[in-house]
Amino acid sequence: MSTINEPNMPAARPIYRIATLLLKEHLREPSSLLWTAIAPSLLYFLMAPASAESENVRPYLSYAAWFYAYLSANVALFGFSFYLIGRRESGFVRSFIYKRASIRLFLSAHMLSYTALGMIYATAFYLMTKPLHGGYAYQEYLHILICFLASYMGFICLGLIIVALPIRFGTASTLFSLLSFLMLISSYRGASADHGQAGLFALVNPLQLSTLLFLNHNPPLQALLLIAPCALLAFYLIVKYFRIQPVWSRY
Amino acid sequence: MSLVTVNDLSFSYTGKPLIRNINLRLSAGEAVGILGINGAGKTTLFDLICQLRHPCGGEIINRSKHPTYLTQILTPPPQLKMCEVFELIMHLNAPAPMTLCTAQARLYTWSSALSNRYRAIAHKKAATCSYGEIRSFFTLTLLLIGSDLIMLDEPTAGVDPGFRHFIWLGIKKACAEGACVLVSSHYTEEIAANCNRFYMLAHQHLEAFTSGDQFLARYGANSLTDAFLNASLT
Repeated sequence: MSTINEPNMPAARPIYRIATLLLKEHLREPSSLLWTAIAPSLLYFLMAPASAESENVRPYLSYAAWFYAYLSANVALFGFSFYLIGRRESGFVRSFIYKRASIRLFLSAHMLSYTALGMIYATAFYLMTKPLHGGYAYQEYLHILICFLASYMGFICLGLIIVALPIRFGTASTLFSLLSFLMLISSYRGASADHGQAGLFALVNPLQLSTLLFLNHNPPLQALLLIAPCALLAFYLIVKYFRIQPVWSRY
Repeated sequence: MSLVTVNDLSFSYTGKPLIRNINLRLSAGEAVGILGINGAGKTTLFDLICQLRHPCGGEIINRSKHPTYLTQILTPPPQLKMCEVFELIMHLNAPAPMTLCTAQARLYTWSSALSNRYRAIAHKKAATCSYGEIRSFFTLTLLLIGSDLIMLDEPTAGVDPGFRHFIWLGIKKACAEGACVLVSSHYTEEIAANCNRFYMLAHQHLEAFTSGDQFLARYGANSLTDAFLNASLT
C-alpha cells in the first residue's frame, strides 16, 4: 500500500488550519454576521447616544455592558454550540470526526476559532461604539476582553449542556431561541424592576449576571479564574462523551 | 490474515434483533459488496465495524490502521468551498496529509476527464454543489487518501452514470494499491459486476456469494434483480 506524504502541507499545525477554516465559514454566513456583529452595534447607536447626551456623566460600560454580555452569549450559544449540533445532524461528524484523535482535534480547533471570533466581535464593537463616549483606553479595553472571555466561557458551559442533549437540529434551534428570548425578557424585567427585584432577576438570568460582571470595577480576573476551570471541565466532558450519531437517525 | 474478521455478530435495537450470528471476512486488496433492502442493517453493520455501535454478541476483529467511512447521508459545511472541505477531511481523517494538487494528479492517472470534473467541483461552494457532485467528491477523496479499509455506504446512489463509472474505477484502483473496500448498494448488477465477492444481508442473516451466477442459482432467478427480491422478500 502506498503512503502519501506531502512535505508542503502544514501538518504540524492542523489545529490552526482547521480553526482558520471554521472562522472563514462563520464569517461567510451573512445571517450570523447580521445578528452577532451588525444588529447589536446598530441597536447601540440607536439607544446609547441619546442617553449619553442626557446623562453624559455615566461611564461607557454602563451603556455597553449588556451588549457585550449579549455578544458573548450569542457567540457561545448560537455560534459555538449550535454549530456542533449542526455538524452532528448533517452527518459530517459521523463520517469524519468519529475517531478519538479527530474529535479532540476538531473540538480544540472549534474552541479556538470561536474564542478568537468572540474577541474579534468584542473588539469591533469597542472600536465602533467607544468614540461616542470619548477616546479609547487600553485598560478599559483589557477589562472588557477579560470580562468577555469570562462571560463567554460561562455561556460555553450552558451551551455544552445543550450539545450533550439528544435533540435534533430543529429542536436545538427552538431551544436556543427560547433561551435567548427568556434572557432578553428577564433582562427587560430586571431593568424595569426596582433595585431589590433587579438583583433577584440577575440571579436567574445568565445574561444579567454577565452584565454585572462587566459593570464590576474590580479586576474581573477572579471571575475568569472561577469560570475557566468549569468551562475546561465541560470541554473535557464533551470531548469524552461527544455525540457522534445524528439524533434524526432511525435508531 | 484477514483485515477484518466478524464472528457470530448479533445486534438489536431496543430488543428488536437486526442481525443475528453473522460472519464476515475482509482481506487487503479486495472489493466486497453488501446487498440488502432499506433497513436490512447494512449501515448498522458498517457502524459496528467502525465501533460507532457496540454488538450485543459475537466479536469484530478489525486490524486496519486507518479505516475511513463514507456514511449514507452527509452534508458538508455549506459556506465552505469543496477544496476547503477537502482540507478539513485531510486534517481530520487522512493517514497522512495530501494536497488537492496531488489528489488531482493521482486522479489524472486514472482519467483526465475525471480529474477535470473533480477540480471543477473542488472550486465550487458546497452549498452550490448537487447531491451527486458532493457524493462523488467525498467518495473519490476517501479512495485517494491512502486508507487501508474504506467503507462506502451506498456511494453511487444519486450519482450520474459518468461518476458511477469513475467511482468503481477508483474502487478498483484503491484495491490494486492494497486497500480493502467494503461497499453497500441496492444495485445488484453493479455489485456483482465490480466486486470480487459479495454478501446478501436479509432476514437478519448474511450470506456470502462469489459470483452473480451463484446468487442467481441460490435464489432460482433469471435476473439479479429477481434474485435480490427473492432473497429479501421471501
